[in-house]
Amino acid sequence: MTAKGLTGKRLRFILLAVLAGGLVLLAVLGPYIAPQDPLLGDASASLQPPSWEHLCGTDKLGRDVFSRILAGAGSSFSLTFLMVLLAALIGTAVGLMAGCCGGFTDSLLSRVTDVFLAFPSSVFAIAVAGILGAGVLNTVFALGLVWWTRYARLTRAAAMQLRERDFIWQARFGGAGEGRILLRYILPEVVPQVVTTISLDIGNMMMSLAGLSFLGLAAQPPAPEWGYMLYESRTYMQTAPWMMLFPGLALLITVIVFNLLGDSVRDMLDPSCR
Amino acid sequence: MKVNSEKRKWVAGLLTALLAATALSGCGGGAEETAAVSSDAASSDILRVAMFWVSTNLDPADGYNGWVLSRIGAGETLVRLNENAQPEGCIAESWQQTDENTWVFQIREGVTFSNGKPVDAAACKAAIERAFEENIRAEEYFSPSSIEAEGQTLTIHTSTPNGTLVYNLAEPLFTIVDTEVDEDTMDTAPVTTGPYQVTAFTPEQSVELSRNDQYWDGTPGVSGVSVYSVPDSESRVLAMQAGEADLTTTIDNTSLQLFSDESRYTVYETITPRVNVVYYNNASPLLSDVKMRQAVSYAADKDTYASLIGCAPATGLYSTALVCGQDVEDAYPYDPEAAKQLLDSMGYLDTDGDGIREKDGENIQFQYVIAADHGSSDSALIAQALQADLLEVGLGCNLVQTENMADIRAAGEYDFCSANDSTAPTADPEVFLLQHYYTGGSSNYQHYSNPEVDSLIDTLTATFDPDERQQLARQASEQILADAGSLYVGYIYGNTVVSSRVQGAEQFPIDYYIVTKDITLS
Repeated sequence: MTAKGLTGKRLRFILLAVLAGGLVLLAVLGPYIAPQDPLLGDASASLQPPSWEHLCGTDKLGRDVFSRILAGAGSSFSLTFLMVLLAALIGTAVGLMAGCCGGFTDSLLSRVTDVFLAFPSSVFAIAVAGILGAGVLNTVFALGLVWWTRYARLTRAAAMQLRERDFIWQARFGGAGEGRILLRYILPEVVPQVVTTISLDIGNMMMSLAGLSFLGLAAQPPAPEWGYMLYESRTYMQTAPWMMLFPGLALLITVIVFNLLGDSVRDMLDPSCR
Repeated sequence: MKVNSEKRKWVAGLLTALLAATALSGCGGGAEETAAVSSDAASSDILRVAMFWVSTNLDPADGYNGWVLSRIGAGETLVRLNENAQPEGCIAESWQQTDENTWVFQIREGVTFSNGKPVDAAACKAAIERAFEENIRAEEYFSPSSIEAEGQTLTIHTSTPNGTLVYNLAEPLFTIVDTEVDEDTMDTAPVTTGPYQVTAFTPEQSVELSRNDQYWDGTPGVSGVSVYSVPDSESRVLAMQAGEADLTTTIDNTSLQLFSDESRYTVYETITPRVNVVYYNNASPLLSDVKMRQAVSYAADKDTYASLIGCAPATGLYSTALVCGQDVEDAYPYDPEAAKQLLDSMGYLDTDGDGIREKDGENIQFQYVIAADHGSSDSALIAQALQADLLEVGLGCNLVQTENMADIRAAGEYDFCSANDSTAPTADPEVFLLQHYYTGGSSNYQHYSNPEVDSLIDTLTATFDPDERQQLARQASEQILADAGSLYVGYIYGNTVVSSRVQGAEQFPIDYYIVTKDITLS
């Protein structure tokens, strides 16, 4: 690999990290910098096209779409991160256990994972959210429950490979217990792969959350959530296209940035790509 | 070697060209074919209707399926409700009341079922009795002690005096259907008397109808009707714009402006007895107090909600489409100060300064359940606007969207719930009161109960004079409003949109009629 290639990769990563950081910052500050109250409607300003006063126009109830997008970013981001972390934690724990213990534990955990994998993930999430009832926290739980399997698969495979490596045997001969080996030697080796998957997953997760909100299962009105805003705009697709365009654009940009960042993280961390 | 590779290139190029040519010709053929199909559909004599609801079967006695049958021009009743919501003869030519419990209907000569069988009083009796056997809703319209059929004379004896019998017989539950067919035929292609007869049916998807050549009232305007289910309002708009439908109804108000081009579309609009209403759960811990319901009613800026969703602001319970709904003074004009005073007087104060009043130390949070009626977003809009207004006076409110409203209502797990209901399904004000406000009424999931209203409804049932009936209905509705039994938001305009090919369509105040014999295509 030439020096030029390395800098290119690093440059790309830095650029995307800055972009993603900017988006996160916007999401955190969103509710404070929103020019207008995202929940306060003004019937006389119903369905106004974009203008200097309303950068992205207004919705049917006369609420400022730009303010709602900003305010919605916060919940979209925090929920997405929460879900991905939840999935990664459950998945990594299960995968490590299965990979390191082997035998019956492995069979049991692997089969459970297979059962969860057998369902199409979004259908499964809809079912779980439907049973638990609509609501943001239920959806976080539902998506977390669906998503952990890929982390389990990933870490199990990695742990099984590592278990037979020389340095693990050396540690074992050195008197390290299984728990210590797991946490001290195997986990750190697995972390880069997990981090890569997390960064790749953020975009997907955000889409899934918006999808469930669109179906009325996650965010409930009047919460400014991107997916729900898209659902609301559906009726005004032709009469007030800005209601759909801007939340859609916000979602698109965010997902693209996080997906590219995920690719870039993989390029940086994955030894096989080095 | 070189020659070889050169050759290969040639062959590859030739193949590519061939492929491209085939692909192109394939495309061309396809395009021609589609064009042929669509121009065929456009020039043929088939009326294509995008309907908001197609039922799981077509048996008129099952659920509200009779409404579907009537809307698509297949089902007819003894009496129908005309453009002024007044009863006029349909299968029955005339009728008269001989004593307070007896009605005599003269069945029109020459009416036949689409299978050629003549319709006599016995056939009508069988169909009406079948409705009573199959559907508990029938009892709410009238209770016959006996029905006699002799030739073309049908005599209905009621067990109690019933002033609204004629109106109620127009409800498509009492569709005159040939009862001698087997159950399967009844479900998929019932034999009826309307201008069109069902030829094919796919549950919840589509109905195909052809002209009923035996029709008693002239030749129906088109040779066939193709009805398909498009539950979502915006999708119906798109179907109209794409030219896939000739006629559709119940378009969201905002989207009507898309059909303003008069050379391409005609929009028919009329006020209906339908209302946008927020039902209070009168038995919930928070709303069992009449003062609380009144406070909520004062806090609601109904005029603004009505203008947002494009309906006429409601002042009372009945729509202005009915006599008893006209010139009613608004019992709860928007008055947030009055709401605050009421709440203060009840001792519900905001002591912790979070903007929401407390009851017994806990923030007041209503549970507001919403569902999309007729694929419309109106209920969600009203809910969000009301939520904001309630917050103004210090009341909190959680919105919950649901698909299974019926279960939630039955379980009583709500404070407010949205509805789009007809206050006079048969153009008469009684049934709505009976179902929704009579103690123990079949749709009284709001647990409203007032002995005075019950006795007014009892009197109404036994009153025959039309003016007096309207007066009684008005009194009952005023009492219900005094109790703040429900929050009436707006009276709904019905709309029908047709393409320029369609003539003779009409929007009726009563939504049983969409496809009629008068519709023609050019």
